[in-house]
Amino acid sequence: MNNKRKRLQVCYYAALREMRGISEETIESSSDNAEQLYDELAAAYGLTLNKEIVKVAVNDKFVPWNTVLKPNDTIVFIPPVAGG
Amino acid sequence: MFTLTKNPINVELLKEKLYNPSAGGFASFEGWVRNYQEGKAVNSLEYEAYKELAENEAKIILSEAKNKFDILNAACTHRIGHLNIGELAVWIGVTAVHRAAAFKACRYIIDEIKTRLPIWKKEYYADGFSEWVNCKTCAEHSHDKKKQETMYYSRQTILPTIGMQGQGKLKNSKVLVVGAGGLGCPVLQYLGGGGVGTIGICDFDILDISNIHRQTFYKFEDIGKPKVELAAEFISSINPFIQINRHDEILSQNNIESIFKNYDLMLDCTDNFETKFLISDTAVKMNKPVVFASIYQFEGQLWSYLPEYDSPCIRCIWQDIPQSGCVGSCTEVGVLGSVAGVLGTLQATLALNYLLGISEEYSETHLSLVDLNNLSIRKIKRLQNPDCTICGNTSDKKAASKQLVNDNIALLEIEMEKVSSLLKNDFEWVDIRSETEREQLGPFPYAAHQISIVTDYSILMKELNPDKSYVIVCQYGIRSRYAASLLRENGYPAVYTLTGGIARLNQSLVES
Ligand SMILES: [Zn+2]
Repeated sequence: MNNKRKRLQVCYYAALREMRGISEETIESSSDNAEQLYDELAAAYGLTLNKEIVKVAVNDKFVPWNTVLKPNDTIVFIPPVAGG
Repeated sequence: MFTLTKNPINVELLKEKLYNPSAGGFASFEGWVRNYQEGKAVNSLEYEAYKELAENEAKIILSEAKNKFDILNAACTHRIGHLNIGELAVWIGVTAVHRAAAFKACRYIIDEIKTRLPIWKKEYYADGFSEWVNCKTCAEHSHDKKKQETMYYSRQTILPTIGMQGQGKLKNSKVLVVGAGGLGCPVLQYLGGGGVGTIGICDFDILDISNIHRQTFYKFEDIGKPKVELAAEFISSINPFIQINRHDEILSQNNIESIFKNYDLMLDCTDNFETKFLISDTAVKMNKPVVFASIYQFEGQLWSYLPEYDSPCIRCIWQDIPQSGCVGSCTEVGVLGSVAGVLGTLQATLALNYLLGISEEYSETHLSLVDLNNLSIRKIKRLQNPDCTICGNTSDKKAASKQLVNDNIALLEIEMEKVSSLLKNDFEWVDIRSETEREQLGPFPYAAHQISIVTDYSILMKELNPDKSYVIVCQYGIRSRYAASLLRENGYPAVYTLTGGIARLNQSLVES
């Protein structure tokens, strides 16, 4: 992890939104990639869904967890849902 | 320009309106009232039109003609009311720089007008009888039913992107709705009301008191009754012009393929991951499109699997079935009734757009996250995962179908008894006989496509997908062999012809 902090937009859906208590926030983070960011947020806010289940999108595109984050990226965390 | 008129048509006036100094040619067609019809002497006839729809559809046809052919202008006038023998019933005029386009466009317009405009003709015969004759089975009551059906859909056929043609597409569609619950009710309501000709409803549940707050078909007094029956009854009561099939069973490995094979599009309105994954895996295997939706409290997700657009499947995103407990179902975490209504309505709209052929690109490739906490829809781009165990390059399915193509590439002719073992389920039948042949000799019941070929075989290349497998049939297997070899030469590796055609099939049926 480098120490350069960047501004990121983070969106939460479904169970993650419930756990975080809000659907969207702007944060300052020094996480290099999406995985580090999720770990950081999970530790800070008690997000209990594991990364096998949660998918991540950066700038409205599904991406692998090791995707590098750039300043002002929008990161969306998406759990699967099944209600009908 | 199109007009309907009760008065005799003034051809000179219409011609004058089309005059254009850069026109090098003018072609016109006149349809007259003649004195006999199928051997019966006719004294006079009467035209009746559904005005708004006829005008709207004719406008569409005229603009189609302008787009297809290099013409300057086109006009058409159709008489309504009572007409005598020899009177001018329909007039079409086309101007163009060159004559060829004018002739072609004129021909196109009259052909389309005849089949697509809601105009009905009643013939008065010399023997004193009269009959409505727009359709072949022209009894008075079927005329009324046909007219009623036209009126039923009039508010949506008037939409330029639907028209009578789009309505015809919906009528010919067969759609399966899996789950008649919170999503299923609005889906069935709008597919049924929208005129999808055949709708299958698959649900094994009986109505529970906790369903009714969001499942809009059901009444308090129906608690304990099978939902598939209640839903079918409701849809039939709002649209008598469509066919409803009931599948009162749990969808499983054992029955899913035999149910799916009767439908062109599936809608997943289920409430559990196991069934969603089963539907997705089967759809990939059978090359069937699916529109999925799921809800969670005040949110929902919406996506499609459309094989012809190489959409990713569910496992391209979630490789394994999540354990239901970990993210919560409606039973565990709750759902607001209107959220199911919104998601189901969106799902129905995506399905109708797909059937009409007017989907936009995002519906093929994106997952829509619908959040009714803040009224937002976020569209996330999905990509096919090349390592996906179900649809990826290395998956069994891709490998198997590649192998199949290689095995059969040398083989062009195929016999009926060998079709299913050689091609499995991965092909579609194409009947290339003319409409007259089909009428006289009977339809070919398995045909997924009916592409009447008179002389121009290249029409096949427009209608068929080079990545799919087809078996072409005709009456004796001669034209279909020509068609199949032509397609092979033009980049369709998995096209076959049925040896001996339909005639041989019929013969072997008689013999057995
Ligand atoms: Zn896949």
